[in-house]
Amino acid sequence: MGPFEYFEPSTIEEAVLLLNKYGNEAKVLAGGTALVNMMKKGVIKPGYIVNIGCIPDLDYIRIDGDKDAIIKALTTIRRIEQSQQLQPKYGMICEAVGQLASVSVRNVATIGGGLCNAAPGQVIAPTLIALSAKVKLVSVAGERIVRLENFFIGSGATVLKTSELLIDIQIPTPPAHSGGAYVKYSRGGEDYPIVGVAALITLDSGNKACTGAKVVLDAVAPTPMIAHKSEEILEGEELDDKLIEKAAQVASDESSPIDDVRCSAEYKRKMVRVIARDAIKRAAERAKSAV
Amino acid sequence: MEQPLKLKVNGQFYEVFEKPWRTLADVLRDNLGLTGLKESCDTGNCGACTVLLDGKPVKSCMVLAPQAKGKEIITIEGLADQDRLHPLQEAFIEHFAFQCGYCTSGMILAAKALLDENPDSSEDEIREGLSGNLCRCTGYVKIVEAVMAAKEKMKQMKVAKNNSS
Amino acid sequence: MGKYSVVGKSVPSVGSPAMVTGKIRYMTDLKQANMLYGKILKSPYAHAKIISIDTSKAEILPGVRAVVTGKDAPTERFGIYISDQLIIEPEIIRFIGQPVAAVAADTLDIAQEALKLIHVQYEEMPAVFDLEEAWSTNPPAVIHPDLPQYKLAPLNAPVLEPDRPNVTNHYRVYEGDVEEGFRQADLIIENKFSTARIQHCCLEPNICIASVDPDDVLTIQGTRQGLYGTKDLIGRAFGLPPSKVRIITSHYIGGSFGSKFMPGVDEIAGLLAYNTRRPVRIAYTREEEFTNGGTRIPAITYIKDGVKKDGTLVAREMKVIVNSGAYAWRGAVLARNSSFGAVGTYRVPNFKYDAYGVYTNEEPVIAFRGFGSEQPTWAIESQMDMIAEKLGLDPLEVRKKNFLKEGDVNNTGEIVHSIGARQCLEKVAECMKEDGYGKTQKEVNGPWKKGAGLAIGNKFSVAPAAAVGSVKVNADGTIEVRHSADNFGQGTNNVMGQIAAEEFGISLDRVKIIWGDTSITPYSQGTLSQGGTYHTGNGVRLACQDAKRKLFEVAAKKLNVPPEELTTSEGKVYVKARPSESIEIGELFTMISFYAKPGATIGTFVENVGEIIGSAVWIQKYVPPDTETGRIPLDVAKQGIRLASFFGYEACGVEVLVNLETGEVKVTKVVLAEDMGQPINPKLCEGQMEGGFVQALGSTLREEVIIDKGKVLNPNWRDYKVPTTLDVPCGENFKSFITPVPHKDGPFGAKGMGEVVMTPVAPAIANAVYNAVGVRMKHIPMTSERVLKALEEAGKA
Repeated sequence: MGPFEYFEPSTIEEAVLLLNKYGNEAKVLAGGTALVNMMKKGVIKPGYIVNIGCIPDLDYIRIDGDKDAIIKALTTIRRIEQSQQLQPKYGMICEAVGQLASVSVRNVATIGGGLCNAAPGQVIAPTLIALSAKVKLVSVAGERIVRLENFFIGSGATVLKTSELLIDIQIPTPPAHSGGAYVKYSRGGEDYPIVGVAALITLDSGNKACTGAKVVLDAVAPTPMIAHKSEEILEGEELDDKLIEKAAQVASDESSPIDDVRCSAEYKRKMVRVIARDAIKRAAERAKSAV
Repeated sequence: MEQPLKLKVNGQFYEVFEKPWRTLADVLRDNLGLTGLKESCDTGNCGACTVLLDGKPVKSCMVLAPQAKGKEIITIEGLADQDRLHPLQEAFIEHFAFQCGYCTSGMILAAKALLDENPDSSEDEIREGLSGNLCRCTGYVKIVEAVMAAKEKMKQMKVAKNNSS
Repeated sequence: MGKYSVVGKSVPSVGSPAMVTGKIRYMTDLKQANMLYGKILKSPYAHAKIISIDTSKAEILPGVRAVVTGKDAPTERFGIYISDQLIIEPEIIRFIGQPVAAVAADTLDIAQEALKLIHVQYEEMPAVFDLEEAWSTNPPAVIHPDLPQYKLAPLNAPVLEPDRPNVTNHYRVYEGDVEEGFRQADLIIENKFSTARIQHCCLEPNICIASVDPDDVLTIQGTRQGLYGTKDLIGRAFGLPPSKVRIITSHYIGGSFGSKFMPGVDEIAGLLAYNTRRPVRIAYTREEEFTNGGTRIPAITYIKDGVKKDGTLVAREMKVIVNSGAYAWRGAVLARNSSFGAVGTYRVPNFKYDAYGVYTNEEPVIAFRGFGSEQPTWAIESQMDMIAEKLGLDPLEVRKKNFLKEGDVNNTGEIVHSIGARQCLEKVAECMKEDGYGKTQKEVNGPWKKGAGLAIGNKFSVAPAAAVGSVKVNADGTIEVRHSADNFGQGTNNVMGQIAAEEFGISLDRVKIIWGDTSITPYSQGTLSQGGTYHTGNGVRLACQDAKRKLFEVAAKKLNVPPEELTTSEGKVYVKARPSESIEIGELFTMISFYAKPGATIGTFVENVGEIIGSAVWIQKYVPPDTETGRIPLDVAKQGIRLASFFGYEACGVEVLVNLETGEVKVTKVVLAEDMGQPINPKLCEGQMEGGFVQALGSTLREEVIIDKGKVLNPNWRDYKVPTTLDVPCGENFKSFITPVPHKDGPFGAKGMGEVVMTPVAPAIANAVYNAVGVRMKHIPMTSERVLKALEEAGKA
């Protein structure tokens, strides 16, 4: 690794000034689990590291009535996993992030770092996209809000400009009678997903028909993929096993996985059907019992 | 390029001058001679380099040394209380929970963090909590037995301590 | 069992507190003064000629102390069965990853930079990767055209096939007439099975520090397995006499499982040490462990059985083709070794076994725990279940019907002794029945189906073999043992210590072990072929007995009785018939006057004798078999001569869940029963069984080194998935039993047990999968994708 110049800004302003100054040569260090790995492998060789870990007030979760929940960028995945504040409204976030790697990784990895790393199969983003989350990006030019589903543009690539810093994630309150689930299918343990599916189902007040469906696929495209056609199958209908199966099959057809050393694209596509079915079913059951 | 870095390790302060791109694992092993933690996989997948940062298990090979500033670092060398082994260390011996021993430091620290956070961990929770630590020798059976036994011992010790205070 | 005071007891490991407090030093922790760091430049091509190498820019990089290429390496080829290796080849590349050059520099980073400055021009040549193509009479590439001129090992020399130019060994075991046997059979069944490469994934990689001292002795301190074998090979690699080579492994080593027999870091570090006259350290990265550290030997096994309708085997024909990779190193010997896996368990009157080692342009293979037994056992134990099903018989009974018995003559002509196959399998079957394996479907829901299966495996231990033990009696009554078996975490020192403690009637903490240094510890074969306990244990035990004889001769004079009437325990020598007539061992020693004070133990000696040192050698006698039949004559066998020192046995029973939608296989219960002869330390034995099961579980369900046109595609632990705590059944769902059958030649009746633990697992799981969902898997690993495909093809998904 190295050499690089190392900075520990103590404010967001200092951090974005550094990022603006050094541009493409600089990388942000949050938890570091992804960044350090890539530097060790020689995949990236930044000349400047901006460690934002010392900036105060970037590490908390705030729930305030019906306002958007705020999770600040440096909040560790482990803290989110164990957060009582996020229960029960945002319980699907805790469920999802708890399936990332292992405890020792989750103790260090941050939500901001995970999103900006933008690796396919990173577990976190699909759930947040299903919840219509937004991210706040800050630079010397000011700040902007980007819907998370528009944040990713490719494998490892986001709309983040070189001088921008992601500082928080904003998640609207899910509609009433909603239930969500994230199901990860992998070889177990720390393994990144072969397939992951986040589903958020909203039912009408009679708990009969589906008024809203979000189905977001993980690890089967360069970015988290919203299975629009699958959602269309579900919306407006009463959900039964047969319909859910159909929606899951459509999600499978929509997906575009690739071959890798663990398994073939063909196998992954088959697993999308199975896992999407399980995720949608679990989300629907939770929606029924939601207040 | 070297920068001063103050680290608190096993209750003691150390000042080193090091390049900021050195990992916590390298600094602990090479600068401070705390070679109990091991590096094995190069990709952060094995857990042999596990240390505790503010009581939480982390993979020290994936943490830059400066990131550990201001935190309490515990390595395996700091677990025993002078000559008194920690219940986990005793249990690992009694239950034959190591063979080559290379993964043992990381495994014990991960188990300690797990039991400190949840003293009533079930066997499934113990397995889940140790799933980031690889062992190629033991098959994990005696490791899990040892952690279950240590769990009971630690609970008894806590009760005894509460009763005596 | 039960009749000894230390042997057979689960005494905690020697050095335990240090193990759990981080105080143990492994090779990874060791440094030497003035040390340089070495890195190896590796070929990106699978088969190529080196046209030129320009090292000039690398040589002048500040901090670089030496750059070596093939022209700096000795030109005499070396190897174990076939001398086909060079330390660095000057001309021909045969696999991706083959060393082309190496650098020694002040830091690892400089060495790494220097590699980038070495420019190599290659001319690619056609390569061969497919095993059966490579084996053919007209392969796309001949990997060692000079093979017919290479030196072969004098004993058990590989048999080459002139019309198959890539064959490294054709080993045969023939008995009876298989065609006649097939004519007598009521059922003929034949199948093809295969196994993949797996990597050992030891936690500690290959590491060494090589140095050359002023007397020109090359010393390699490292992680190499087989201390004296390494000394011999390094000597031959460099053209050095034994007196100029020293190998040290007297530190702790983080696992081997056979991987650390691989040549590589030691030889190249030695070359750099000669060129710099400074210590040079080379450590493989995890990626290099995959690309250069060797893998288990992939094999294709054809098996054809002829069976009577009552389940009696009448004929078995097997053809095994093993992929050696680019150098024969261990691939040639596996062809021979695999035959033992096929002959060690069952009685088959008509038997034809042909095994071929074959070169390919892939990374060379290396020994892997279970060496040679897994591949035929995978085929045999799968097919035994298929036979049982076709004949409507119980799989347990079909096996028992055909087991060899004590005193039988097996297919290699050996007289069978100490065979615990029946006891192991019956114990496993009994436990499976009691614990309801495969029953109680009610808790199984949705797409999961439950099944159960069992299998029995064996593993032989090599012959000939020899091991010397050296034992000293100290004035304070402690015993010092010197041995050269390897220590990779199997508890070798515990075993040797317990043997010595038992012989001297003392506790384990009164035994000091010195091991792993060819300048200090006497010859042994090392810990290989499951033989550490048996060979070196015997050497140590005999040495203890020799030391005791000398001790009693000295004590006899003081106690005025003949030495034969004496015995020893707890640091005293006493008369067997009258224990009160005794003398402390310390009193047999004279103290030089200026040290004399109570409790002193230095400056002591035994008058007229000096020190009380016992030394003895254990030899496992051997006669080479007939090369056409692989058999020894009966009159030779009756003299106690065997081709295998012993056989160990293990049975495995598993309950599995198989998911019809994903193809996942989960093991939910496991029971193991092993015959290792007298267990020296039962808990250590259990540990081996448990660890071996989990390692085998990985290779059965998931692990595979994926090589495409010679390139390893998954050389890391992110993509290559080693089992974790989540893969192993909990608590009462994992049971291990020891069902020993003592061996008359083993120390206290002990055999060995560390390798057989791999062999029955894959077929047990395959049999359970078949029981659950009716599909027969014939290749391991049976990944979820492969199982799903099989389910779909059978219309069951």
